[in-house]
Amino acid sequence: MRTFILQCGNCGGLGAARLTDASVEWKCRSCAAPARIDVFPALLRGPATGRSGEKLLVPEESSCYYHPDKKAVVVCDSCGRFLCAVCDLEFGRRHVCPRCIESAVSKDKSQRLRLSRIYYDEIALALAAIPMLFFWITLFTAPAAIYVAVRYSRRRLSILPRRKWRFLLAIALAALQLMGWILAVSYFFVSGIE
Amino acid sequence: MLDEDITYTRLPARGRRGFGLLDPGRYELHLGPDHVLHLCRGLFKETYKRFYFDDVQAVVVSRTSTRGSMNLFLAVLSLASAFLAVTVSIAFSLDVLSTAAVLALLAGIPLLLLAWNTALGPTCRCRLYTAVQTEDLAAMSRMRRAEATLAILGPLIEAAQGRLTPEVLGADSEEPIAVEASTHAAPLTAPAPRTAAPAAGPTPLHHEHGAYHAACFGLLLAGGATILLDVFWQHHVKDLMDTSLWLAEVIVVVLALRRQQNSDLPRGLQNVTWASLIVLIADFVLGMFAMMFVMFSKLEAEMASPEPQLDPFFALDLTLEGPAFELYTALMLAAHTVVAVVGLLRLREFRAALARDPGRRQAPTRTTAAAASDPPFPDWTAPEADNAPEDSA
Repeated sequence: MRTFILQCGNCGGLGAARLTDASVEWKCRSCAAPARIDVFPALLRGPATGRSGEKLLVPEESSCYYHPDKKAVVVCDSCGRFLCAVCDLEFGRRHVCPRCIESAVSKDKSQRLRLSRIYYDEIALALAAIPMLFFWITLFTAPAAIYVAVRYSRRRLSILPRRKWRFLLAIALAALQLMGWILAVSYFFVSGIE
Repeated sequence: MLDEDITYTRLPARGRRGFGLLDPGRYELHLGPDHVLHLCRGLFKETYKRFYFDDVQAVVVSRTSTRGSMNLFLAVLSLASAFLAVTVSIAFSLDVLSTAAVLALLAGIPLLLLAWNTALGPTCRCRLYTAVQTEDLAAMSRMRRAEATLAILGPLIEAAQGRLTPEVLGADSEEPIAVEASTHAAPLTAPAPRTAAPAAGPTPLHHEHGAYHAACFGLLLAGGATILLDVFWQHHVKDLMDTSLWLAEVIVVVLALRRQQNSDLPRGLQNVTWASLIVLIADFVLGMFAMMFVMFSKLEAEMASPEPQLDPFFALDLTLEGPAFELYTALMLAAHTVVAVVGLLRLREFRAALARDPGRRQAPTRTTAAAASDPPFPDWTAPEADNAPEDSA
C-alpha cells in the first residue's frame, strides 16, 4: 500500500491519501474539501542518475568533439559533431550538443528554449492611449508609440498566433494626437499674429 | 535544426489568480507535441512554463471554497448598493422609473457578477508535481474546466509513461510506503517542505534608511503647495509642471513602497506611505471630476447664451473656479499636507530611535502570518491515510 503525502488546496493542511489506483478521491481532514489525485509512473521512478561518459580505450575509436578522451556515442543532430554521453543533450526527440543549444538561445531560434516574450504591441498601444488622460505628455509619448510600433512590428510577439491590429491602432491614435498638436500650435501661432 | 515551429492546441483551462484583483495575469494551458505549456499573459509580457509528459508525477485537483466566499461578498455588495440607491432616490426625490434605473445600475452589476461566478461552477486549486517542482496551475481554477482538461491530459501522460496499476502501487501489500512527489532532490529521511508551501520561520528584514520616504513626503508637500497656488495663479506652464510633479510623486511612492517591503521601517510609517498612494490616486480622480464639472458648467453656460460662441480650444483657456474646484482644492490640500507632515514626523521619530540605539540597524526578523500559520511537517514515515477505509483508520 502506498500513501501519497499532499497539501490540501483549500486550507493548506497536510494530509495523506492511500493510493489504491492511478486516480483516487481524497477528502481533507481539516476542511473536508474533496480532491482528486491522479498519479503517474514517474512518481515511483527514482532520481535520474548522471552520466559520466565512457573513456576511450582504443585510439582508433571515435572520440567526442568536446572531450577527446571520451568515447563518442551519438552524433549531434544539428551540427553533426560526435558527442560523448556527457555532451549528448536530449532536445525534444533529438540529440544535440551544448554549443548548438547555446547558439539557439542566443539567436532566439527555438521556441522550446524561450521563457517569455514582450508584448510590444500592448506597449505601443498603452503609450498611445493612457497619456491622453494627462494631455501634455502626449507630445512626447505619441512619437514614442509610433517608434515602438514601427520598430517592433515585425517581431514575433507571442508563442501563439497573434494579430497586429494593436500596432495599427497605436499608430492611428498617436498620429491623431500629433495632428492635434500641430493644429493647436498652428492655431496659437495664427491667433498670435492676428 | 532547432528552429522548429511548435503548434499549440488550446486546452479548456484558463483562469486568473485571485479573480485578477492583485495579479493581472491571465493563465492558459496549451498542448504541445510532448509537453503542456502553462502560459501567463501579463500586461506587457507573456511567460511560459513547460511540463513534459515524461516528467509529470501527479496532478491534484482540490475543490476550494473561493466561489462561496466571492458570492457572499458580491451579495453583501449588492445589498449595500441597493440601500445606497434607495437612499439616493429618497434624498433627490426621484420618480419610480429613475429609482429603478439607479437601483439596476448600482445593485445590478454585483448581482450580474454573482450570477456569472455561480454559472462558472465550483472553484478549485490544481497542483502539478514533477521530480523537482510543485506548480500551482492557475489556469485550472474551476472544477469543470479542470476536469475537462485532465480528461485530455491524462491519456497523453499515460501514453508517454504508461499506466499505474493497483498491482504496481502495491494495493494488496500490507506494509505502507509513503510516496511524496517533488522530493527526489532531497534525502528521504529529512523531507524538505515543498516549493509551493511558504517557508517556515521568521522572515529576515532589511534595514531601510528612508530616503525614498523622505523624498515621497517632500514631494507630497510640494504637491499640496501647487494645489494652493492654483487658487491664485493658473497657467499652461504650471499645468505642465503639476502633471510632471504628480508623475514624479507616483514614481517615488511606488519606489518607497517597494523599498519598505520586508524592511525594519515601523508599521505606522509604512501605512503612511500607502496613504500617500491613496492621496495621489484620489488627487487624479477628483481632479478629473472637478475639471469635467467646470468644463461642462462653462459649456452649459455658453450654450444657454443667446449667441453661443464655442472656441474649439476652450478647454485650454479654462479657468478652474466654482464650488467643485474649491471643494477639490480644500480636500486635496488637507490630504497632501496631513499625510506629508505625519509621514515626515514618523520618519523623524524612526531616525531619532536609530540614532539612540544603533543596534536596531541590525536586520531583525518578523514572523509573517503565513509562516506562523504554516503547520509543522508531519511524521511522514508512517502516515495514516485520510481516505483509508474506516476499519484501518
